[in-house]
Amino acid sequence: MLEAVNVRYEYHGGKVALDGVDLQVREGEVVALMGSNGAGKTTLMKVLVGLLRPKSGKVVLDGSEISELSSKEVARRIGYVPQIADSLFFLESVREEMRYALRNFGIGDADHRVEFLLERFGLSELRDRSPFSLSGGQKKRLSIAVVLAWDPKYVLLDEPTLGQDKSGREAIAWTIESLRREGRGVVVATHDVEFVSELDPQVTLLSSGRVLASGQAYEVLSDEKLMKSANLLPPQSVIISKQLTRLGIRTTHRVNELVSSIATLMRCKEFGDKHR
Amino acid sequence: MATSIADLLRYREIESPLIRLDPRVKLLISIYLFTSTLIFDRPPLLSAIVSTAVLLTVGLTLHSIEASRRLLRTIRALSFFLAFVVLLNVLGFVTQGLNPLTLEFVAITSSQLLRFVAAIVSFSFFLLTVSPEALAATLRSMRLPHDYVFAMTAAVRFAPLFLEEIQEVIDSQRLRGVDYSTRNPVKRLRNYVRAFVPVVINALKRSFEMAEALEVKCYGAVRNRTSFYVLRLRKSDVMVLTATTAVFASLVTLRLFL
Ligand SMILES: Nc1ncnc2c1ncn2[C@@H]1O[C@H](COP(=O)(O)OP(=O)(O)O)[C@@H](O)[C@H]1O
Ligand SMILES: [Mg+2]
Repeated sequence: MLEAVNVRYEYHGGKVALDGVDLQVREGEVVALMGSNGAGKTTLMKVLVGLLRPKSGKVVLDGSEISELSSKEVARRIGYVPQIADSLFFLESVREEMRYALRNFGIGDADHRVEFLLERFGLSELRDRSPFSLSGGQKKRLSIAVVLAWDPKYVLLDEPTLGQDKSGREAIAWTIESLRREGRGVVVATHDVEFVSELDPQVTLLSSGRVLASGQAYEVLSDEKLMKSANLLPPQSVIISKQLTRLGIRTTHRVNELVSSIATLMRCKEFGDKHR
Repeated sequence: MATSIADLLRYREIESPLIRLDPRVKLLISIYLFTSTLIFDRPPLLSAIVSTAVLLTVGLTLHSIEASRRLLRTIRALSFFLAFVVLLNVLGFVTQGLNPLTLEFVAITSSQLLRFVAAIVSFSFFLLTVSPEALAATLRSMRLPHDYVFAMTAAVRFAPLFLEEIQEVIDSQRLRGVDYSTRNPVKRLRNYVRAFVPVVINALKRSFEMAEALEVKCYGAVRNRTSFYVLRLRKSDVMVLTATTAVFASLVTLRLFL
């Protein structure tokens, strides 16, 4: 388990970015860290991976405090994909970028995995290109693939869907799902409510450096008051189901259940039209 | 380390009556302070007194705990150089056949350390208290061509960003298993060279972006541009200027007759 316990962090100049934050990620669990811009998501991720040292509180990785582990040991087990991928790359080609960390961690014989990940993230065609010539979305996908290459036990993704088109989003959703199935722990920092509502993870809602709520995605995302105080818009499915409820139709906000009840209603209407 | 040096170079709004002085006056004061630390190199006692006076002046002017704390952080970041000064002194003493374990050595070395710190602080005084806009206005009032002024202020603005970015790159490499705590100097050097590549490339990219941004804002469309921000000396500026110049002049005189 990767765990933040009562973490407080202040930036130079006294800005309190995190205050008394708790977060737990178990193996095989996906946690969505949600909150509006400036809520403290990125700061918490950097604390979790040991880039920022909390002013108080601690981060515990599988029973040992990360301040007592070397940065290499932490990095081997926690893969962090930063929000901005610009300062990440420095090698000649996309493929070399993929292999770089493998060499540092002494992992051999991973060519197959590298090719698989490149394929998965739609980068195989670009494998010999310089990473500096990639577009923003491609760089972001490469930064995720690079981290998955060494197969860390926990994966932290900071705003992974930012600037991604449909297939990019699908690749990322698929990746998170398969990490969960493989028993990895995943933290996704995002304010993309639609993306989260598709994943159905545990949600921790952050606002001004404090945890407002945590729970199953649908509980949190459908709580209008909570979402409002976190300055987030509920997902479309929730808005639709709320309006249907107001019309006296009882339904859920799970997309597939919502679809099937709407489909039933439409069929009834069709049937009625035909037999009028 | 990179971030604490970045902190030294970055201007932040500080509230204090002396901060509102004309930037040209501040530049002169900075030069006076800096020169004073330079010319009083002997005897150790006098040099120490002058350096302390310089430090006190800067400290009182900054007039804020936050600013003083930043100065202390800077000095800590410079501790490597301070240690180097001590080492050089020891070597100097030993090669001249003198014993470094004497009161004389301690006096000379500590006055030198004090001078060194005072010189750095008096220099950073200007950067700490003058915003990039005010710096630009100062340079323009010296009749420097606008293109150069602009390039210089842009550089001042970007220097801390550059250092921050080095830190960011080092962090991201650490997260990919690069061992920055290695004691092997060759490996260490190679790590830093690796970190340098993306920083330089990003800087180049940023300069192109900036060029585009300038085009969009019609930079250079008018030959004789006017300034929104025009410097004018106020009464308080003249008073401070006269007083500090008088003090500085007497210090120089004192030094000449010593
Ligand atoms: N380097 C920094 N120095 C000072 N304040 C910062 C720095 N980075 C972030 N902050 C502040 O900390 C708060 C949290 O930022 P961040 O963790 O990046 O939020 P999020 O990722 O949720 O958008 C914000 O108010 C931001 O302005
Ligand atoms: Mg962020």
